[in-house]
Amino acid sequence: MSKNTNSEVLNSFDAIVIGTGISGGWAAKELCENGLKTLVLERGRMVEHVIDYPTMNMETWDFEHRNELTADEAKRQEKQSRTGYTTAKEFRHWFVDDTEHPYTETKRFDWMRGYHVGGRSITWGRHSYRLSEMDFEANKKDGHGVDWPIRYKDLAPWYDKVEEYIGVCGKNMGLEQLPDGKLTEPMEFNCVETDFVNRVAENMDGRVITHARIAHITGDKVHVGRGKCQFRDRCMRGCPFGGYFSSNASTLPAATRSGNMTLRPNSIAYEIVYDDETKQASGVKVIDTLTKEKLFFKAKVIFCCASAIASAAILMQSKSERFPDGLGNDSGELGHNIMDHTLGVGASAIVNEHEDKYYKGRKPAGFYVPRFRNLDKKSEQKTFKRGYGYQGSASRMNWKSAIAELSYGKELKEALVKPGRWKIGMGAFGECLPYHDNKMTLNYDKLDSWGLPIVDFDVEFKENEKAMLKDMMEQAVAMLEAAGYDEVKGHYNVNDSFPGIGIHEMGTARMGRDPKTSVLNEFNQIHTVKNVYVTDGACMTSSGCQNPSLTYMAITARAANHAVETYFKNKNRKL
Amino acid sequence: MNRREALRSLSLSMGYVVAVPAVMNMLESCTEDTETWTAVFLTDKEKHLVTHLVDIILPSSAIPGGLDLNLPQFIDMMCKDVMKASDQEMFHQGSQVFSERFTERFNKDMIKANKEEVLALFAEYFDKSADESGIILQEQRKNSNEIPANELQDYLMYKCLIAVRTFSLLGFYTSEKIGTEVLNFDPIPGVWQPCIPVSEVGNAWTI
Repeated sequence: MSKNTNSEVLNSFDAIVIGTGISGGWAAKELCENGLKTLVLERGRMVEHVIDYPTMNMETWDFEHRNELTADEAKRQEKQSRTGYTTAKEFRHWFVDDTEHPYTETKRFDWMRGYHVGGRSITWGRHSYRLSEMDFEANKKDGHGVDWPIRYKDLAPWYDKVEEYIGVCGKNMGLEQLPDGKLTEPMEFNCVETDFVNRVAENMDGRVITHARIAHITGDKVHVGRGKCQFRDRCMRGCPFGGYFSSNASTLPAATRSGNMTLRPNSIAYEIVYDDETKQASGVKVIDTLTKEKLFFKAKVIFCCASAIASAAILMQSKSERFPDGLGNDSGELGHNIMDHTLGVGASAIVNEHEDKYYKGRKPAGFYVPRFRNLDKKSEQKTFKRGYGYQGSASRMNWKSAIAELSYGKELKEALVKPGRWKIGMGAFGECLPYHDNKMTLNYDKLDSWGLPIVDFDVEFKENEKAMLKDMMEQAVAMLEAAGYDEVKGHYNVNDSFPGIGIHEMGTARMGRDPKTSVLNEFNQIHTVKNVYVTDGACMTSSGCQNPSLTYMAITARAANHAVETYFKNKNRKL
Repeated sequence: MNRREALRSLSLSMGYVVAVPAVMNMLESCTEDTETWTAVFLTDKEKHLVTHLVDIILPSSAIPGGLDLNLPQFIDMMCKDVMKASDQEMFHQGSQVFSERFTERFNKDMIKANKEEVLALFAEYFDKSADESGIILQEQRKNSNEIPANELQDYLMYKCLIAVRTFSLLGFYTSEKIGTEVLNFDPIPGVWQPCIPVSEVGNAWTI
């Protein structure tokens, strides 16, 4: 026995989870609830549910500059502000300071992220749509990328489990391209949305528009520690009611309740150590950002849930004799095949109807137009493969509608305190194909303040995505025109939509059947290092057009339960 | 006292307590300008101009006006803190253009302008058809180096006047007074009622 026994025991866990976002939270919950002593690492600060949501109850006038950034603040978040909304004063503490956390761009890539417990589960869009069988079969059918090693039936029970646990409202439509789920009562359409849904169905050959499926609590099911959505629509600030799902409100408290979680914020995981004797990973090297100490934590199982880009970066940094190009990178695919959803295309219109109608409450989402392209022979497109969906809503405009005018005076002032005209709009999320040459690399010429290499992006949308963008705008316009609305305007500017802006980056360590062309197997284990699981967006083999978080959660829950089974099988074998 | 508290107490004393006519008197007798706040960005001339502009853009009526909320001081702060340096420079250049045109027209310095005179000149640039407005606003989205030399003066002047207008609307409709006393303030709705008569609500919801 070495004299370090004590610290070794202290630094030894059954499992380590890197990351506390939407995937890390689920890994932590499943591993801990199944009895594994689990260390959960987070590179950023602690954020405790409710207590650490500094802006959750503020009104616009409570912000010194009314939610606008000062010029100095804006300078510190030049890249994070590319979305146009995430760095408003109410949210900006959830997004990194670009001057402290730089990255480089061989080609422009909008990498939006926050370093804190909960990660982007606090700020996510909350739209939750299952991938369908046609998504899992897509690569195999049209030859792009590699085949998924799983099919819809493998994930379906885990989608069930996740939806029931997090609470997703919406309406089952029995669509092949958008499988039914365990949904609670939908948030009803307002009068304009109701008309729109009916008119599009009537005038466009039954095209389906359904309620947005969002991870908000409706109905009467009890979720420990959380309450129903209160229709404040201030979700991204953090919800004091736990009305929507986040790691902080849901999975991390569950892991805490198990008594098996050690949560360690301010801990940058920078290397997963490979042990040549066992052919397994032995643990994770960590920098404590408060003490600047370098630490090593051992574990039997390691879950990489740091987000697609960060997980890949950690694996790429984990070099050994066996894996000179990064842990598990025999295939050369690690860091490649980056996908995101194309964004920034859609249409809007003015609705000169229902002037006597209004609503009470601020609904946090509107409608969803499920994919209608390339579903079958009839909907097959000549110019592009795969498809897209739209999210949209209708509401009455407010004073901001007068910003782009030159009006002034008493009439203007008094008109703007009344409900404005109805406006309806939608924006598309398009599938991006996996391309080997869309990649990230580590830039060792520029080190961060911890001496670690920063990430460089070389990613672009290509012909298929661009052809789809065109159709996305045309169809958005066609739908609003079919509903008979006025001032229909499409928006499509290919130069405004760079990869990353969908904040759905994925694919950097894809799952596959063949270790020669993929990094992970069907249970998200690294093919050749089976005690390392990667279950965040990195694992995605294709992107679908659905918002991906629900799938990350289902995949993570499935992988974690596989890890638990394997862990106890091995333990019993030793006994 | 930090800036926010200072601003709050100032807007309390200026906007809520000082009656509207008192403010108006103060402005009309501009040589006896006794406002209690000191500008941090605006020059004296600009402060005088912005005060008239706020009163023109959001005059007092049954609903409070921009001066009742002390928007000139809000605008002064926003110009200083929120505007990029290049926009700040254009703001000053633009106010200069407007002031020069004012002097040409009325044969007196901006610092002595009254509201009616400022309105007369302002209206020439802002009483526009939708199409004309569209063109002007489209030009404003360009960078200054894309603007032909003979249009640069107009471009800069609009930069300044539109900034005042935008900050006026922002400061007004997101203020506590309008948000809680004029608009319908309901910070925690608790319910979603998708389709109800406007008459049940009246004015717009505060956001």
